[in-house]
Amino acid sequence: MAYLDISKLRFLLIDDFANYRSMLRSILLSCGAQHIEDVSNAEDALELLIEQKFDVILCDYNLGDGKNGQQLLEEVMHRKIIPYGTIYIMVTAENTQGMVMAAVEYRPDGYLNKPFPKDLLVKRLELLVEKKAIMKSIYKAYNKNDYTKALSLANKAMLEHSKQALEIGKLKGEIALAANELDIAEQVYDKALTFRDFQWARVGKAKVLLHRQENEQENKEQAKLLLEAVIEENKNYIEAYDLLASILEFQGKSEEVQKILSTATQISPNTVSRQQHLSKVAIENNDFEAAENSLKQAIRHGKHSCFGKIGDNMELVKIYADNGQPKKVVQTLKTARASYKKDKDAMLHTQFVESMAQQKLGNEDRARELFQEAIKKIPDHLSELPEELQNDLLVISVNLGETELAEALEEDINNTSGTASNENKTKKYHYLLINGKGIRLYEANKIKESIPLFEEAAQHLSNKISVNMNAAQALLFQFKSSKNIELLTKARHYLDISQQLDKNNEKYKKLENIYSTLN
Amino acid sequence: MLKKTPEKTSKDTQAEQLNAVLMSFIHDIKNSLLVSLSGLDSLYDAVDNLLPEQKNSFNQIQYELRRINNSLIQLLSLYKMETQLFSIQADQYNCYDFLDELIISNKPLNKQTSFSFKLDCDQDIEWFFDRDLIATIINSTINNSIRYTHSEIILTAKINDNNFLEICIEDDGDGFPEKMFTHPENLETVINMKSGSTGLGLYFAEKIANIHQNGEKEGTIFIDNQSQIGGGRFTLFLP
Repeated sequence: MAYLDISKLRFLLIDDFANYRSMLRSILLSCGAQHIEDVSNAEDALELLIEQKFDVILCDYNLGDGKNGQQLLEEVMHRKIIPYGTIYIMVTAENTQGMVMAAVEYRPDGYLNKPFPKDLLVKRLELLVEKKAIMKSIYKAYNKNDYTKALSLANKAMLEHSKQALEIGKLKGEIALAANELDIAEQVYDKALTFRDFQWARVGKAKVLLHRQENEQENKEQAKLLLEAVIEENKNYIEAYDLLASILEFQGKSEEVQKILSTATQISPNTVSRQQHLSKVAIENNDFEAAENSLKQAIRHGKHSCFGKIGDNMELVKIYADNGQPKKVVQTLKTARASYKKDKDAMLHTQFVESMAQQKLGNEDRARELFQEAIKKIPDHLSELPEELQNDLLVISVNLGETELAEALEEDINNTSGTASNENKTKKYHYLLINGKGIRLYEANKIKESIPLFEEAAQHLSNKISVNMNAAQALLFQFKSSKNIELLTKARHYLDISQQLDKNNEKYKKLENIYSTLN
Repeated sequence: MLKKTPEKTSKDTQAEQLNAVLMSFIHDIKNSLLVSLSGLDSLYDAVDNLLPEQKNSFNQIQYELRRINNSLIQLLSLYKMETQLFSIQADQYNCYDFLDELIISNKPLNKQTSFSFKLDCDQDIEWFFDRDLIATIINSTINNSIRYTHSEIILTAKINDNNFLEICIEDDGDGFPEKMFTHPENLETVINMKSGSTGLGLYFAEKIANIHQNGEKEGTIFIDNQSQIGGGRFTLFLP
């Protein structure tokens, strides 16, 4: 065993109990540690971890009100805040990891049950430092997507460290799958299965089958059997549920997908992404009760998780609006705004969804009012907004009949190059809204009233053919009844502009025809 | 006619609530224990010149606190096993490291006590089990041996001819009393045995061993007084 110099390691202690922090500190000091920082909550820990490098993180699972130890781990791993070499040890008050933790995707390097004597901590650190040293180079190549190198390093390590061979094998299988080296992956899992009926190796084999392109139907069926057997043995093997759900999704069995995901979320309710997935499936299945339930869970557990998002709150608002529950709509919006008050995009999102909800609830005028207010606040970088906000924005525009505005918005969303960033978008949207108002009047047969609106829009949007054609069309129509020659002159003006913009436009050609018959 | 079902359901929920209250109390007690155990640790380190009998009192207090802790963990685990979503979290562990860690965790404060620990296990045995559950069994057994041994505790682990992992904890104390050789079959007999937590401990160990399965094979425990060093012997077989 390599000698471990604890005085060189930098420790971060995270525990909400000041007593326990000082206790741990004194244990570490007596082991020879010299660099120790401690904090009482995950938020402070996050700040420190971004600023400084630590070798060992000792984190209590239970951290009071904010994020818990697992959520902190998820965030630092998901955001790649700590490098692979950092040792993350979860300290638990009793042996809860079986129930709470095995059901999660991101695992710490080890668990320590309180109380632990100092010798145990030292021993654990020695083992983990040794293990990390062996695996580090493999992970490094793997994270750089250099699969060939990662695989050859894994092979070498397996030969040199027989004690860790299976552990390395597990990783090798994962790398081979990522590299789409399916035969290598299958070999790894088959070899492990000669030792023992490992669940991970059977799940690995299922993954290989799911990756294979040939005999897709048959392979998926076979993978399904493997996964079902694993779940039968170990109800907490969450990954197997997710894979099973993906197979059922492929087979189009959406009711069964919902069933599987709902079992998985019962076992591991705090995984936000799975709750989100479940809610999506439930909405597709028109099971609004289940969708409501999973969205509420996603919101609750997402509050302190990096996977939480405003979109979940918004989906819930839509469900309540669809079911005609205005009070719940208001309440959910209020909660969402309180949770995301510092997030500008999220706040904008709530406004559009509120508008959407008001329309669903039958308050068309209020919906339009909210929509017009929100449109003013759209930032320039439309293409960079969260996808869910972009989608909702387009949906509500179309629902309110603002098709031309919707088209413009879609164009701006898809324009990632930013070439048109000089144009004043707020101004453009404003006049497109006026154009929309004109269309509504026109369609209500209030032609005369629509003309000033179309003209105003056209004057400011001389590069938009549709707006100019609208103005021309309304003027021509009005001329038919009033025979005021001035209308015809104006119509000519907008037709000229349209011609410059696109003389082959079908609608333009039709309008020219009408013009010539009237002239 | 009146149906009695609603009453029954409310009683059931009452029982469930009571259980939940009990469990949260246990967690609470465990927190206090934790602080006591760590406090005892630092207190022992802080005071010099203790007389041998004083040092032994430290060991005794530590033994009792650990015993309470082990019993509470067993209770919590039994409770969890009754709930619907329980399944064992078997994973692969290096046997030597696992047992070595357990010995470290169970060493008494006063290291100059008259007995010694010995671990006899090949360094490269890897086995498949639920670490927490098995640790709970072995912790209680070791703690118990510490209490009754005279001079030595031996932990041996090997893969036997039937391809079971055989973990054996032996001491040179006076051995187990006769009445413990009948294994309690269910919780009811445990309660009837009136032997306190010893009966519960064995019931727990048996149950934990049983849920470790590999193909057709199932884990089990065995106790006797055939220790190679003359005292009690506890053997755990894991498939």
